[in-house]
Order: sequence, then structure tokens, then C-alpha cells
Amino acid sequence: MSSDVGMGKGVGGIIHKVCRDFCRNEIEPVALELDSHYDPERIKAVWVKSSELELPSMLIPEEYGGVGQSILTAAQVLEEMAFGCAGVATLFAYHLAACVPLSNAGEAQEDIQRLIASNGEKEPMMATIAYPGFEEREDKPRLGKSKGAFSLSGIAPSVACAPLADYIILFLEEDKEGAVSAVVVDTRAEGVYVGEPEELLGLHTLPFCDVTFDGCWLAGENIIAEGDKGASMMDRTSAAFNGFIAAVAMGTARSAYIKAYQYAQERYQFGKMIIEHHEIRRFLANMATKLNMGTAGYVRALSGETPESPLPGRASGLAKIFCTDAALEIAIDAIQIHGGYGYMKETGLEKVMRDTKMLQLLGKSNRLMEIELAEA
Amino acid sequence: MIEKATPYSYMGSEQDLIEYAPVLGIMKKKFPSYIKHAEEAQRFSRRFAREEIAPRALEVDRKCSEDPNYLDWDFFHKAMEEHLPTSFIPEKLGGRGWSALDMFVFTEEGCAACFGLLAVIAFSMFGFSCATVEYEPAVVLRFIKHMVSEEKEGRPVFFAWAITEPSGGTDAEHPAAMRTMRPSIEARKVEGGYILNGTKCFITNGNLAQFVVVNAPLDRSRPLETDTTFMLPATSPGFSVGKVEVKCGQKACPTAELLFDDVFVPAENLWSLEGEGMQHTQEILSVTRGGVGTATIGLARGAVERTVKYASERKVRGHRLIDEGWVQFALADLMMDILNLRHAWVDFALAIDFYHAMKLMRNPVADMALRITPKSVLMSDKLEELAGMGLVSSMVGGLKKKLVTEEIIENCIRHGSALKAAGADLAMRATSSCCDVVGLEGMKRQYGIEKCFRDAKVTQIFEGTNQLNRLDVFEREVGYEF
Ligand SMILES: Cc1cc2nc3c(=O)[nH]c(=O)nc-3n(C[C@H](O)[C@H](O)[C@H](O)COP(=O)(O)OP(=O)(O)OC[C@H]3O[C@@H](n4cnc5c(N)ncnc54)[C@H](O)[C@@H]3O)c2cc1C
Repeated sequence: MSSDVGMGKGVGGIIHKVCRDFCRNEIEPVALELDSHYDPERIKAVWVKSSELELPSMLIPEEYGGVGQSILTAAQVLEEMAFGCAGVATLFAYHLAACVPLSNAGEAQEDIQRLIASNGEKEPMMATIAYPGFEEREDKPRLGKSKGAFSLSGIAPSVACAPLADYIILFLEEDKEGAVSAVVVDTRAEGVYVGEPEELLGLHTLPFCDVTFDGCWLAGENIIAEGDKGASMMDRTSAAFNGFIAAVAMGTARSAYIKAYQYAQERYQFGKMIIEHHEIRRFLANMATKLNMGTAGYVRALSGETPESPLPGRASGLAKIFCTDAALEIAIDAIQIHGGYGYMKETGLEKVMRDTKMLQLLGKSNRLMEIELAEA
Repeated sequence: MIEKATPYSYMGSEQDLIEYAPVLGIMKKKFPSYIKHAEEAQRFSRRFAREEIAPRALEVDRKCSEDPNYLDWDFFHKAMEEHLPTSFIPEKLGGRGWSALDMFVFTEEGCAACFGLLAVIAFSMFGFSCATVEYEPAVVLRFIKHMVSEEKEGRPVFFAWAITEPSGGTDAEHPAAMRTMRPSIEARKVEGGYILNGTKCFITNGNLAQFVVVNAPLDRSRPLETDTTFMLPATSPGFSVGKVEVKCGQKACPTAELLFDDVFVPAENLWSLEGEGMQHTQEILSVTRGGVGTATIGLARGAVERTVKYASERKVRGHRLIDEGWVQFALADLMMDILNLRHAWVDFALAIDFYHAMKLMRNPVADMALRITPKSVLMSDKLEELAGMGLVSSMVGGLKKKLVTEEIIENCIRHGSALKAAGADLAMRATSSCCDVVGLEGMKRQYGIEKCFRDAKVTQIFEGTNQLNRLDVFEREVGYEF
């Protein structure tokens, strides 16, 4: 396959190779089945297996037993995973994004970080993120304080991974403009109720559920950050998350592109192999362009990260818009190249189309992000 | 600010038919009963879509995900009670007597409610239209009688039209492409008929059909020159249904593989002359592409309507989602194209009624004959016998060839292909854009918007891929020779 498309060869080559094998052996074979039938047991099995490669603890610092990789490397691993299944990769994207505020909090969240990094010993903990406070709803979750303890009540809608995750990092708007509380909630704690998985267009391996908090009490250490600090933690988390989703989009789109490229070489129509038709060549070159540009875009957006200078949120937001939009277009074109076969489930391409359409809407939907990111 | 917005009070559903295109207003003055009939068809279609199609759409979609063989028989019986599968048959013979305009009105309304359920009815009509192409009056009458009497008994008659094969769909729809085709099926001439061997794939209603219209070459090495259309009952020995596909969308309407293993077709079931299969195909496509184009507008409209409803009820930042500037521009963009393309389908329907196949129905002689002949005679075997007599048969056949000229067929392929490809691209863009507007929460199954998105993609693929449609337009614009 044309080596210019997809993951760069230089960066963390070993990780990528290992990851590629994991994707081929553990994710690809079950992707279509998990798409048709949500099966938490099997998804959990993939998760546990991934801990042999220390994937869940990629962003946890070494001092707490993690691997201490960069956001960029994590994104590239996700791209590789998404080649096998965007749903599984997105589940990891939510988890890895949640590791950002946890590792930022350092010592204060040492316990959870160690639980996530319990590689090989026992099942690693899974975390996820949610921004329920920013929805305009009567019943949005609110944090109340009395006698040194915090009470959480309200409903967080469509929380990704909720029934699988052990911890949810919630970002809640405070009364003061621009101030944010970041709190970590144990999903098994009293007063936390996870609803039924919603039926959505795609990403079926990744359950989205409403989570109700009623009589849920939090201790001081559950509050990761407040005020401006909370806000900047949220921005940093979003920046990582958007970069991750951009990477996932590129990975899954690349799988569609490769299928289409191979099919175009095998399919005879109108007197020649269809790859000989100019219109099909235009499609393929266009897909490859988007993959190259998108990959370069997210890599560049995430490369700016150092401990001192936080992630440039705008660049990764723009990368998420471009990559997920491009991925959907690539998926649609890949189906088109396959003709009737592309519309059938077994080809696996309609799944990519449904999954990429969902990726556009995660976090904030692309059209809304455009409104926000118009100004630097 | 938009005051009122519910799925069935928006984007034309409350509009009178003549507001769709000014030409309909003008037509109303000249042909009042023709337009009145279409207005009645629209009122009926809206009621049927609201009461019978929309409420079933999601459930049938789910059931078909679990079992692609599932068909909502209750729905189909409702459709039969309303004479929808036979709607194009004159009222006097037991149908609804619908014109192409009536049928296209029904198509838009129905597809706005559910593309899949509408397709179950509409594609069966496609199959039957194969019979009318050659206009063997005896054959047409025989099938009309059969369909009407079966419908009375509550037994549906399904037709499938099978041209696509594993080796190619594009090659089966274009003469130059077929010349270089590597066919997956062949018909061998034998005493008294033909023997078919091979496979067809992606055939709508293929697993339900009692009658299959199928194209096959008499000589695999000269596919175009020997392509021929046959009709066979599904009970023919050697015929069987292969796998029924699990699809992305349009699930309510099954798609199946058809297997032919030494299937004998008697000579009288030849539905085109030997070697004229491609002409037969082209003539059908000259009508059906316009129909599918109309369906795509319905699909796009259905997505926009659902989105308007959602966005009118959802609050963001102290106002309704629909009051956001970006939402208004996103939707306006789609509404604009829906309005424009609706003109195109109205025009196409008029062309079918006044220039193409339906013109025969509007022919004064035929009309008069239908009026004065008692029903008992029309439905009797005597008439069928008479129609089968060489002289009558060639008279009617000749009349049809004179009325529906090659030029009309070519023109309808040109306009039909343009409408279908533009409509399919719009349906895809519209459904995708609607998903953007409603966001993750609006993707929940109950809103029906994600289903519109899944349904839409197929329209870029069937009835000629959008690439073939473009080629068909181009070739007829600049002139071409095969
Ligand atoms: C749900 C569904 C229902 C269907 N129902 C029916 C039915 O009832 N009866 C029936 O006969 N068929 C039916 N079909 C089949 C449909 O008509 C074909 O899938 C379609 O014609 C495309 O053929 P193909 O799938 O073989 O793709 P191919 O013809 O193999 O095309 C592959 C790709 O090559 C492109 N291509 C081909 N030639 C050129 C060229 N010269 N230049 C540029 N690009 C080119 C095509 O556009 C496409 O992108 C159905 C299909 C579906 C999905």
C-alpha cells in the first residue's frame, strides 16, 4: 500500500507495529459482529487484552506504573486501532482523554492512575469524560457543597462508555462565568445510575447512556480542579480528545480507502479495470489527498505539546473538523467505488460511513465547532 | 422566527400541489380533471403516509436488521386494500387509474415517511412496467387480470426486474459497456424455448417475486448483440433464491440473489425480441430513473422535516436550535435544492403522461375504447384472445412505437438520469447535513434522522450508479454513437 498514506514510519515504530498486530488479531475479526450485536463482555475482553500492551496506561506517568507517552503517540496508536474498528478506538479515545486531567492532577489522583496502570495484574480501570454541564437542560448535573462534602445531582446525557467505565470525569460549569469544576465520579458509587445504551447511527461498540446522579456524595479528593484551573484542564482535555478523534477518523477512513483501492484494481466494468476509469482515479487520488492532509494536520496540531506550553486547542479542534469531515467523504466514496457491494453490511464499508458520521458529532459537532473556532 | 413546524406541516406537506410548480397551475386551466386527480392523489398519499407508512417505519427497519427476509405483510395488505400495487391500472379494470403525476406525488410523500416501505410497493410496479414495454396487448391484459383478481383475494403479486449480475451492474445498463461485458448468465436456445443458467444479484423483491423479468445473452461472447429479456414464474424448475442481503438501509425492501440452474423458459415468455434486451432495459430506465429521482427528493424532504421539528423543540443558549444562524443556512441550502429539483420531477411526470408510455392511455381512441367497452368484456378471455391475434397485436404495438419514439426515450433517459443523480447527491448531502444540525442526541433512533442517512446512500448506487447517470447525461448532451 502506498506508504505515504497513514502513520509516519519514524514515530514510535515499535508501538505501531505491536498495535497493528493487536488491531489485526483482536479488533478486526470481531468488529462487524460487535457492530450488529452490542456485547459488553467481548468489548471488555478486548480492553483487558489491550493491557498486555499497556495501551490503557499509555498516558499515565511512569512513576505511577504507566508508560508516560505523549498525546501525539497516543493519537497515532488510536489511528492504528481505528483501522480495525472506529468504535473500539473511540472507546480508548474517551479513556485516554480522561487520563489527561488525572495525570495533570498528579499525586492527588495517584490511586486512580495506579488502578488504570495495573497492567497484567488485574483488570485495568477504564475512565471516560463528559461535559454535561454545558447542555441547556433543567436537569443538568449540579455540584452542591455542605459540611465539607459535595453532593452531585442531575442527569448527564449520552455519556460515552458509561456502562463499561469505572470512572467518569465530569466537567461542570460553575456559576462564575468561565469557571469549571472537574470532578471524578466512581460509577459504582452510591447514587450513580447508568441508563440503557442508546440506539445510535454508528460506533456501536461504544455504548452511550444517560447517567443519573441522585444522592451521590463526593469527597474533597473527587474534585480534581475548580475555577480557572478547572477551565484550563477542560481545554487541555478537549484539545487531546479532538486530536484523538481526528486520528480515529483517519484510521478508519484509511481502512475504507485501502479496500476501495484494492477493489478498483480487481473490478472489471465498462471494458477495463475500474481503476483505469478517470473518474475512479479522481476519487482515489482525492481520498489519498484527504488522508495525507488530515494525518499531517492532526500530527502537527498535537506536536506543539510540552509540559510548559499546553496543547493548542484551536489547532486540534480544526484538525478534528477536517479529519472527520474528510473521513466521511472517504467512506462514502469507498462505498461508491464498490457499487452495490458497498451498500451491503459484509463489506464493512457502510459501518465506516456510519461510524465516521458519528465522529463528526462527538465532543461538539463540527458545525458548532466552526462557529466557535472562527476566531483565534 | 418560524412559528409552526411539525413533520407533516412543513416543506410542501400543507402546500397545494399547484404550488409545487407554476406549470401545474397552468395545466389546471387546460386539463382540470388531470390536475384534480393528482390533487386527490396527493391528499390520499399524505393520509396514507401519515397513517400507514410513518408509524411503521422504525419498527420494520429494526425487524429487517434482525431478519432481512422480514416483510410487513400487514402493511402490504393495507396497500392492496388501497389498490396501490395496481394503481396504474385503469379504475374500470380494478386499479386506481393513476397517471404518472399521481404516482410521482405518491412517491414523494411516501418516501418522506419511509423510503424502504415505499420501495416495496414502487419496485413491484417497475417489474410490471417491463410487461408494458413491448406492449403485447394480450400479455398486458393477462397480467392485469391476474393482478387484479389476486388483489381481490388479498394475495399480492410481486414482480422482480433482474438485470444486475455479479459481473456487473453498470455493464448491464449501458450498451457500450455491455458490449465488453463478461456475463454471469446465459440463455441457450432449445426446442420450444430457452434454457437459462447463471446468477443475478441485488434484485429488489427477488425473494418475494412470483414473476421474474430477467435479461440474458444468447451468446456470452456477444452480450450486447444477443441480450434478450425473458419472463419466468418463480415456480419454474431450476430457479431459486440465493442469499437475501443485509443492507445499510432501505431495509424494509428486500434485495436478493437469484440462481438459475437449467431453467426452461417457453418461447411465449420472451419479453423482448432476441437481441433487443438492451433496448428493453433502456426503455424501462427511461421511466424509472425519473421515479427514483422523485424518491430522492422525498427522502431529502423527510430528513429536513424531521430536523425542522427537532430543531424547533430543542433549546440552546436561551433560544430554539432553529433560531441559530448556522442551522438556518444549513437547512435553507437543502430547501433550495429540494424546491429546484421538485420542478424537475413535476416536469418529468408530465413528460411521461403526455409523451411517453402513459400517452397511450391518454390516446383518444384508447380512452374511448376503455370508456365504452363494458368491464365484463374487458376482463373476459375473449378480449385477451382478440388482443393476441396478430393483426390487433401489431396494430397496438405499432401505435405504441409511433407514439413513444426512440427520441422520446432518449430524452427521458437524459432528463431522468440528470434528475436521479442530482437527487441522489442531494439526498446524501441533506441527510448528512441534518445529522449535523441535530447532533449526537438527534442521532437517537426514535427521531428517524439516522435512518434517513442510512437509506439515502443506496440512491447513488442503483438505477445506474451516479457515475453512469452522469455519463448518460453527457452522451445525450453532446451526441454519441455506440
Ligand atoms: C439496494 C439495491 C437494490 C437493487 N435492486 C436492483 C434490481 O431490482 N434489479 C437490478 O437489476 N439491479 C438492482 N440493483 C443493482 C444496481 O443496479 C447495481 O448495484 C448498480 O447498477 C451498480 O452495479 P455494480 O454494483 O455491479 O457496480 P459496478 O458496475 O461494478 O461499478 C463499480 C464502480 O465503478 C464505477 N464505474 C463503472 N464504469 C465506470 C466508468 N465508465 N467511469 C467511471 N466509473 C465507472 C461505478 O460508478 C461504481 O462506482 C440494486 C442494488 C442495490 C444496492
